[in-house]
Amino acid sequence: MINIQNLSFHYKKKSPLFNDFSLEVESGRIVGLLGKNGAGKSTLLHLISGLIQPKAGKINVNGFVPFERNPNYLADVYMVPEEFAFPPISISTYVKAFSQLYPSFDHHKLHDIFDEFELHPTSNLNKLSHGQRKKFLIAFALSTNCKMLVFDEPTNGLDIPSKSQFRKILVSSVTDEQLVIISTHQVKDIDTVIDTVVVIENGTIIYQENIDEIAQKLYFDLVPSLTGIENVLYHEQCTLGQRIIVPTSNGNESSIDMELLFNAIINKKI
Amino acid sequence: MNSNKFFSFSRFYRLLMNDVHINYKKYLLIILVAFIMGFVFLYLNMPRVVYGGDTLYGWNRFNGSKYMNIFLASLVALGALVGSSFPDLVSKVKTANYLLIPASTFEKFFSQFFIRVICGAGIFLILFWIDAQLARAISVMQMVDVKTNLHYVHAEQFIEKFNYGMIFWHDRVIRYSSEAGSYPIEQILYHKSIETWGISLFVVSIGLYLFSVKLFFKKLGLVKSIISSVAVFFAMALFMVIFSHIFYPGTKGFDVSLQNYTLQNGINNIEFWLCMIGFVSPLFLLPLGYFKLKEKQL
Repeated sequence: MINIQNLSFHYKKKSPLFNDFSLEVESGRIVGLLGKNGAGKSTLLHLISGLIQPKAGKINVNGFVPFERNPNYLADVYMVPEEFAFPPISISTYVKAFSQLYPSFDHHKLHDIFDEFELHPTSNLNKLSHGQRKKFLIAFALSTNCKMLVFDEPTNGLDIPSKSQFRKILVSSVTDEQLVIISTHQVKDIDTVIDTVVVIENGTIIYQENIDEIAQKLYFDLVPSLTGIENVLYHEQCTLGQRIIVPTSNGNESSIDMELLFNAIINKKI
Repeated sequence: MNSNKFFSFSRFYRLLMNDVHINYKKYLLIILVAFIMGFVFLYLNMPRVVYGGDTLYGWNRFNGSKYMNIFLASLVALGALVGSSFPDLVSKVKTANYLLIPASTFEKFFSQFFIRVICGAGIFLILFWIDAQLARAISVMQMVDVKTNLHYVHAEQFIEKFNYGMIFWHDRVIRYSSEAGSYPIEQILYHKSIETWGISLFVVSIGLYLFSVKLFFKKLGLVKSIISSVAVFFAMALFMVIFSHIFYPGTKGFDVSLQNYTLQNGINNIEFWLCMIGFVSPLFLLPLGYFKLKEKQL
C-alpha cells in the first residue's frame, strides 16, 4: 500500500514539481501512472522507491519510509527503470548474483517467462538488443515476487508481439498481495492490464479512478459522425469516423479506449 | 532497535557473493596482472650478475632496503584498487540500481571496504611475498660471476630471502651529532622502521581518502577525488607557508620553516607528524563517507 501525504519536491534550482501532493493506493492493484512528458511520473516513482528524498510531506509504502532504504523494504521493491545498464555477464550469472537478494524469488516463474520471451540463460546481457534486455529485466522483476513492482515505461523498445506478451505475463503472474505501478505515456500499451488510472500533470493528480468505475460512468464508441449524438464528452476524428466518449446510459458498458480517455483528461473534458 | 536493519551476516554474505558473481573475472584479472607486474618489477630489480670484486656486502646486494623500496612503490597499485571502490556510482542508471540493492547502507559500505581494503591488502601482501620468493629463486639460479663466467656460489646470500619482518621490523641506524660536549659526537640510535610504516599508512590513507571522497561527487568521482586530494595537498602546503611566516618571521617567500628534532626512540618529529596527518585524517572521512552514501540521492 502506498500512502503519500502533502508531498513537496523540487530539483535543485528548479521550480516545484510536486506541491502538497497526496495519493493513496491499495495493494492488489495494477496502477497505470499516466501523464505527459515532464509531468513528474518518473520523479514520483523515484520518490516511492526511495531514490530521492521528499522536501516535505510523508511517503509510506507497506509500512516503510522509502528513503530510509531499510533492507527489508528494498527486498520487497523492484524497479524496472526506463534506462538500465548491466554488467558484461550472462543472464544466468546475473540471475545467480541477484536472485539471492530477493527472498521470494521464483526460479520456475523466471524460466517460464524466459520461454515466453524466448530468452536464453547463456546469452550475454550486453550482447542482447535493447528490447531483449528490457524483456529480461521484466522477467526478473516479476520473478522477484516483490510486494511492489515499479515499471517506468516498460513497453519502450519492445516490439509489437513483445508488448502483448508483456501484458499477458504481467496479468498472469501478479498476485493480490502485490502492487504494480506502471508509468507510461504510451497508454495504449497497457490499457488491458491496469485496473486503476492515475493521471498527473504539473505535479498534481488530475484524475484517479478504478477501471470498473470508469466503465460504469463512461461509454466509449466509434461512430461514423457526431450527428444526432448528444452529451459527447470528448471526441476525436479517425479514419472510420469519430471516437467518442459519452456518459454511460442504461447500464451499458464498453471496453475502455485508454488513449481517448487520456486525451480527454488532458484536455480537461472529463 | 532492530539490528537486522543495519547488519545481517546472511545478507552481507549474499551481498559479497553478488559482487563476486559479477566481478570475479575482473578480480581474477587484477590479481593476475598484479602478480605478473609484481614479479617483473622485482625480477628486473634483482641482480643477476656479480663482478668478481663484489663481496657479499657489495653495492648491488639485494637486501631489506631494496625490497622496501619496491614494496612502497607497489603500494600505489593497492591505493588505486582502494580508490576504485563503489564502481556503480559512476552513472545515474548504475547508481539507481546500486541504491536499490536489498542491503543496508552499512552493508554496502562495509562490503566495499572489505573487498577493496581488507581483502585487497591481504591479497597484495600474499602476492608480493610470492613474487619476491619467485623472483629471488629465479635470479639466484641465473646469477653469474662475470669474472669466472660461472654460477655465483654465494647467490643465495647475495639476494636475501624476503620476509615482511625485514621491511616492517628492521632497525634503522641513525648517526646523531650532538652539540653538547657531555654527549658523544656520534650517537647510534636504533628504532623500528617508522618510515616503512609511515609511508605504507600514508599510501593506504590516500586510498581511504579516495574511497570516501568519491561518495561526495555525483559524476567523475575518481577524477574529482584526485583533483580534490591535490587541492587539499596544496592547501596544506599553503597553510604551512602562512604559519611559517607567522611563527618564524624570518621565513622568505614560499619557504616552510619546520623545527626538525628527534623524538623518543629516534623517531623524527616530521615523520611522526606526516604519519598523523596522513593516517588519522582519512579515518574521519570513513564515517562521513558512510553518511554520504546513506543520504545519496539520484
